[in-house]
Amino acid sequence: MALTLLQNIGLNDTASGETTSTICEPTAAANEGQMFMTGNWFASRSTNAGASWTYVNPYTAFPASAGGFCCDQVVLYNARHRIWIWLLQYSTAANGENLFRLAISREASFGSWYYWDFTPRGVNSTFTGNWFDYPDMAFTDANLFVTFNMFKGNAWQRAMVFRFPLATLASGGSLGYRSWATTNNGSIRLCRGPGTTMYMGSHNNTTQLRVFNWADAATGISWNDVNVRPWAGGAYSAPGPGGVNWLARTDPRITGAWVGAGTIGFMWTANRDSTHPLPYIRCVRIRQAGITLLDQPDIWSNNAAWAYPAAAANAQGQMGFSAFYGGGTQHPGHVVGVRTATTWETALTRVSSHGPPDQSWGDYLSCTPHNASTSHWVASGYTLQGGTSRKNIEPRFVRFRA
Amino acid sequence: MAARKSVRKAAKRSAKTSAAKKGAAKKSGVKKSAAKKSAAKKSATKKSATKKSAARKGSAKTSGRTSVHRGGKPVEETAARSRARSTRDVTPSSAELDLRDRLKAGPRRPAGPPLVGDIMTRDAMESLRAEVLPKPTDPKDAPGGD
Repeated sequence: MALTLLQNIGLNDTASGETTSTICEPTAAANEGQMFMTGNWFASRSTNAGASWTYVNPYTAFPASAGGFCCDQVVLYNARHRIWIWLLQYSTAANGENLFRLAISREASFGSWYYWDFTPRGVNSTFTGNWFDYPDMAFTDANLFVTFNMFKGNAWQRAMVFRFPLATLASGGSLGYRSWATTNNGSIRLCRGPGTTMYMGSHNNTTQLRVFNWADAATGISWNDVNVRPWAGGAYSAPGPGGVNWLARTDPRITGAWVGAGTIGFMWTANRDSTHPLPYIRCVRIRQAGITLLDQPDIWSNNAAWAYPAAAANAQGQMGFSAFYGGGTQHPGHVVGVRTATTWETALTRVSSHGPPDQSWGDYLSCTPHNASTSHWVASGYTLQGGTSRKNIEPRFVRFRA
Repeated sequence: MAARKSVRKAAKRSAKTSAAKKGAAKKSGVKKSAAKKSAAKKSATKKSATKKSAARKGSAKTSGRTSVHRGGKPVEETAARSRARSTRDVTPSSAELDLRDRLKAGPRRPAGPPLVGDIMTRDAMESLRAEVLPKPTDPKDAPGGD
């Protein structure tokens, strides 16, 4: 069956409160007619299947703790417990420390939130002057997982993984949770898909991935290393019309991860090399049984660069993704796609009318299964429309199926 | 006086602990070098695409212990409280968001250990030689659909 876009909605200025950024970092989720979208520096909510959207101000939705609301956000809907989960990252206070907030809204009272705050020193009393950045969030059957990098000033300190029981998040009871920290790997990305074990990935180097797993029933985390075909990082370049390089800010951290139908997958933006004329999406698929390499069906083009992939398996285990495509004759465009048995099927949802004036784009997108249409995905994206100002950023909500 | 005694006792205790730690470090140093040799032997004999050993020097662990925490009860946020919060006080102005946008567009800070340096291994070179490129992918145009 061909890739079909079921909904392809651009959020207008009213829906985003004119508070958009060229580093938009949008995320989106849906539960039947309820939809929620976040990005820099807005949130937006629909209760009529996207017919209209209401701006939600993340600066005032909750108390301005630490240095006040900052930037990175992630939203998910958990069907098993019928809860919305909204993660918000706060700015650092005078002591150099920030916090992240996990806010929960029940399906029945969508838009009313209760929340927990997590500070670096609340996790470990020695993490003085540390702050959280670059979140990811996904769940297994029983737990919500959150990852962050932790910095002190501008120096990376460690990556952290948190595990929260979904049942307690849903009930609003007293929360017990677990965490794990590592200084060996950064920017750990969580696999989205059904199951009782959370798989996560991070680069060991440019020829090897580390695949972590944390089972719902386990109190410890373990990992396997998987060798992959070498790839390059460095300074990315994909000039579009007018020579605007929209990838000046890009780096090779893993941005897409999924698990489904016995396959674990990771995607990231790799730089051009002798066989790829432009930056492209490295894709590594790993057999879930035994954690062995399955194949590496990269997504690349002779005409434009591919970047910032996000991925998820739908309820049937099939993989869908959201990414950007641009350079050459084209400004950055947003694309959704699926993996069929033998190839990629992809479709542009919208192409920018301009390139980003500061040559920067990103830093992440989202893709998640739709509830309750089990074969559908929900993707977030964005483009520049009608100008180069941050206010010309148009966030995009896309629902698609294979 | 009692306070002085307790300080002396604490000092003695800490001296004992640090001596014990030094001894333990020596012992573990012996074990570590033995472990390194055995790890090197294993890696020399094993040539598979997937390894269950860490690539990083000095780290042969494949599992880690997690910590338990208490997060307490959540804070309820009512719509009335949210409405009452002064937007003017906490929401940045449009001009400030413009500045934030320009600041955010700068280069990203490195977020993890350096990744380069291992590309010239034999396995990596063989992998490159054996590379079969998949067909290039260009997206189809889709209707706007707003």
